[in-house]
Amino acid sequence: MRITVNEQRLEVPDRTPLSSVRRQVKPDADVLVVNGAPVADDLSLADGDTVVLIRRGEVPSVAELEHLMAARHTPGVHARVRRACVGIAGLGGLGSAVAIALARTGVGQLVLVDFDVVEPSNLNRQQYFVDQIGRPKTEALAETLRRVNPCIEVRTHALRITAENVPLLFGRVDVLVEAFDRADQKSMLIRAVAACCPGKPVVGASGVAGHGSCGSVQVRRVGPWLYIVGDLETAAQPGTGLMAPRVGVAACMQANTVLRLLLGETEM
Amino acid sequence: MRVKVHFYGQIRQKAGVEHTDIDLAEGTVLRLAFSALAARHGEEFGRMVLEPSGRVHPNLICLVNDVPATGDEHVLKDGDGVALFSPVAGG
Repeated sequence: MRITVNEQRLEVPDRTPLSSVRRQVKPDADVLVVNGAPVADDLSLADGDTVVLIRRGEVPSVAELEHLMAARHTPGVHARVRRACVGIAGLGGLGSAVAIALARTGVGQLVLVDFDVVEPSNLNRQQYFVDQIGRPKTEALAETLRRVNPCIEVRTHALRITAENVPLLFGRVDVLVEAFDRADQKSMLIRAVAACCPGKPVVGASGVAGHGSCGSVQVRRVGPWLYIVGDLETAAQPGTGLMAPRVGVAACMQANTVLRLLLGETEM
Repeated sequence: MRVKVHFYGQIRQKAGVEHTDIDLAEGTVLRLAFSALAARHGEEFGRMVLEPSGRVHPNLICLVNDVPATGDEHVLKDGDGVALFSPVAGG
C-alpha cells in the first residue's frame, strides 16, 4: 500500500504498524500524527494514510523545509516564488502582515524598508510583540520572519523612503508593495516608482480603516501596473481607527495579489 | 477635442459618476482640464484635484493612457483616457 510520511510517498506492506514506519523513517520522533490527529498508541496503517513524524523542539533543516513547502505549494509554483524578490515599503499594519504572508509562501527575497520603531500603540494591528517595543521595525520583523521561514533572504533598510531613494531601494524587486499609512506618502511612492521604474507592478492599499464589511475590500486595477486593495474610500481618522481584522484582510489580499503577479496572473 | 476621465475612490464619490467625457480646447494642459472638471463636479471635487494655488494636488495619482502624467502642464490630446485616484490614509 502507499502512504505519505512527512510529505513523501512511501510504499509499505498492508497493515504496517506505525511504530515500524517510525523506526524506518525517523526513529527519534516523539510526536506522531496520523491523518491530522496526534496518536499516543501504536496502530495499523491503511492505504492512503498521511503520517507526520516530529521530534519535539527540533528545527527542520533548510532542505527539509524547502521540500515541505514545495510539496504544499506544488513544486512548479514553489520554484517560481522561490526566485522572486518583493519589496515592502512601510512595515506597519499592512506591511508587517504582507511580509509574514509572503515569507510563509516562500518568496525567496524580501526587501523591507521602514524608518520607524515598534510603539505600544502599534500592537493593535501590527505583527510585532510586546518584547519588541522600542526596536526598529525592520529588525523586529526580520527576526520574526527568520522564525517563520529561515530559507528566505530578508534585506532590511531602516530609513525614510523618499522619491530620490526609491530606485536604489526597490529598483530590482519584481513587485513592490505600498504599505504606508499616510496618504501623501502613498502617492509619493506610486509616482516615484512610475517615474524611475516604468511598468514595475505596485500593489498599494487605500481604504482599510474601521470595522465595516470586509466585502467592500477589493483588488482594483487602476492602471496596467497599479493594483489597489481596499474600499478606496474609508480613511483612517478620529472615529474610524485602524483595526487588526480589516487591515489584516487587506494585507492578505495584497500578499495574494503579489503571489498572483509572480505567477503571471495580471487580471484580478 | 474630447477626453475620457475615470474616477476612483473618494474622487468618484465627489464626482458622483464613475467616468465622464469632457470637451476641451486643443492643447489643454492637465491643470486646466482639472479646472474644467472642478467647475462641473463642484468645490469638494475641486479641492481633491487642485491646490488653492491652482496647481495639481500632490496627493493625486493621475494616469494618462495608463502612464503617469508628467506634471501640471502635461498636454492632453484628443481621445486621451485619464484615470484619477487619490489614496486615503491608513495602513
